[in-house]
Amino acid sequence: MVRRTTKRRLAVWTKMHMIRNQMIKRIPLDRIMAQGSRYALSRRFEPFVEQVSSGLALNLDQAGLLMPVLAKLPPNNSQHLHLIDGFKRYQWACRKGLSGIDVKILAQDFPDLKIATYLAHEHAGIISSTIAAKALFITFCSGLGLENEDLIEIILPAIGLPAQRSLLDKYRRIGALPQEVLSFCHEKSLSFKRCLNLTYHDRKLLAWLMGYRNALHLTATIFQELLDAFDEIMRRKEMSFHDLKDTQDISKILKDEALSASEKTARLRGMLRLLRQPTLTAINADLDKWRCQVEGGNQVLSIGWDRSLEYEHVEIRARITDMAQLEAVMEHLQSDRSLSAINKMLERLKA
Amino acid sequence: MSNVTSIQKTSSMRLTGISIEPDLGHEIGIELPLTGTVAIEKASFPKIKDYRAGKRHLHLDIKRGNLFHLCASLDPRYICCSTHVVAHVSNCPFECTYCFLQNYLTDATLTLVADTDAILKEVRQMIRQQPWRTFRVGTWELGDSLGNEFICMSAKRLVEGFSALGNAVLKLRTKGALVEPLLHADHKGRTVISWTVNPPQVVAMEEIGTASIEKRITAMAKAADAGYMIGLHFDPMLLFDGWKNAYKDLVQEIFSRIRTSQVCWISLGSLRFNPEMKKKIELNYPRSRITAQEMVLGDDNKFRYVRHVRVGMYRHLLRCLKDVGADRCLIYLCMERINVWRSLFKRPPETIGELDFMFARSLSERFPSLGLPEPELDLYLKAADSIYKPGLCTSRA
Repeated sequence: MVRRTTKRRLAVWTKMHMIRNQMIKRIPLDRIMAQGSRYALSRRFEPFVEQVSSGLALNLDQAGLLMPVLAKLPPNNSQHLHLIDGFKRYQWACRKGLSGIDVKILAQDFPDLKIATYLAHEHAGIISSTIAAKALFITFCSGLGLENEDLIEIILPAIGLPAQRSLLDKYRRIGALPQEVLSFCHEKSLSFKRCLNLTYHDRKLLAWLMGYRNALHLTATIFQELLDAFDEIMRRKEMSFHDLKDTQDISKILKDEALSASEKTARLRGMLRLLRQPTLTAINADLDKWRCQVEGGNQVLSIGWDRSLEYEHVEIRARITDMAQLEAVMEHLQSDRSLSAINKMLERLKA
Repeated sequence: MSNVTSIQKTSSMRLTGISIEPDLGHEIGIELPLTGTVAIEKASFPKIKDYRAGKRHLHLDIKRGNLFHLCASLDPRYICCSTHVVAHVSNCPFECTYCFLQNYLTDATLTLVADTDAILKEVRQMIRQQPWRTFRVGTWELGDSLGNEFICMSAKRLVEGFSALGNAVLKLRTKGALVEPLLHADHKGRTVISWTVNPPQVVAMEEIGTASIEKRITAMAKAADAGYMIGLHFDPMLLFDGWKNAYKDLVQEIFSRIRTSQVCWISLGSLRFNPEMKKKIELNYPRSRITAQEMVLGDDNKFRYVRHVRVGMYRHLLRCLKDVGADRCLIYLCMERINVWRSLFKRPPETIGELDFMFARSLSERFPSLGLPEPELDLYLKAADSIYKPGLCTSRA
């Protein structure tokens, strides 16, 4: 098995040299299919990168096209070549109004596996940059119709991943995330575990929440927290996604123009916490009220408790620098108002 | 005849294969005719990784190393029952959504150490070292005590083996209803058959493949009639709409068929799982809503219902038990901190050692005919102190 895999990998890499030795022809631009090309990897990566980097455009303006683009003859007798590599150069040529460009042409029967491997090699920088990019590339390769065995044995190692079936399945799940979520994963360089966790959420929920990306202050952690909260509330209350998003309180917060993204996010999190943890929120709110009563603006005194409510004790701390402060604290704590509030706290902490 | 039919059905529904370790002798007494169409082969450990596939293949194994130890879920920060276990079963033919095994087993093969003579020999050696102690020895740590009884009468052989031990009782625990193989065993009262019980709606939704509560209670009654002590485990209690009435009805149903004098102990516990388990449950059982409740993470890294909610649940169940006179049985909490105990009991045990003593005292007082050792509190406390760090149970309460 190992020997067979090694042989197959070797064969693919050997064939890559064949790409370099293909014939070059000047082809009219209208005979090259870029947008509709089945090899349009860069189109998939468009949300991840700038269309044409200004540096490359400047170079092309100064030196012209020095390198041919790569394209493949279509499987039918269509006149249009499928562009494989050189999309930016092609776009530049179109903008410049050139009639044709040099194209390295691959034969109709040139295997897609070798093209995918070539692209993995040529675009290793972007493909290997994040988990989301790797997932997107695997989805692209799957879209070419490559066999699972080839994906596992050739493509995964080509992008620096171990050849494991389970890993392919997981990357496929990640690759199937809504495009805007995948872009978010890429931009935030989310870990494999985080990306995979996102795949367990309702796709509609993911896309809907990501739609508020500009309206909310969404870090990776907050995004996950909101998803978990929505998911839990839907399951607990047996609500559908549509019921959830139409919930008046939620849509009111999300659509409130007067709130900044941070304020909106804070309010949404607070509301979800209340829905998710009604008992904890209610009891802690009572305790907070009495805490304020005890502290009473006293700067040296702090009152605490276990907010998960597992323990029943109240912690009373005083930060003093002289004996006078201690006396003041003792007097303050022994006031009827403080004693009453502490007593209420202790009672509330009892189950 | 009707029993045999149901046994055949049960076995053929669940198992797809049985393997027997080649070194295992013929004396294990497998009831081959009862296994229907299931393929049986002499083969070494198959090591099935998939949790569900593992449940469908029973491997009868030889004893490897020591199996007798203290229950692994014991945590000195909680007042635990500190039962001993013989871990001779691994994985379970049943499939409960809340089961920790789905996140615990690296080898999911349903395995049963069928060499009961070797197990009993180890138990004898261990209990001989503390003749003053009443050992409670369970066989359910990693599976169901009676889940495989229709094929391999290992529980029956353990029951008969324990009947001759002076200072130990055997604890079998099940969610099944198959007690027939045990009804005529010579148990001499030294075995407790325990059932994990939950209202029918919980059994239907969350305890896949287990016997209905009605069947469990019927089996319970048969076991009680055969002279066995009965144990009840309301654990894990689950929150759902109508939980109060459901648990009340459950208690009334059980004690309409079983006398409280036959029940030696009752445990109460609530749903708990670690964070990794939460994800596993949601993936394995997307229809289950047990993880969608309000929960907090305890310092043993387990999610539980909020303490106020848990105490409310336990208080309600205790009231139901009292209403049927079951408060005369030893009632204890599973994996709860001392402050929860104090909220519910007038004189709760302050340490793990004290609870251990309370078990021995209860058995000795309520079932004197067993002739178990007269328990001495000091001995239990000292023994517990040598194992657990004293004070940890109460210091943060």
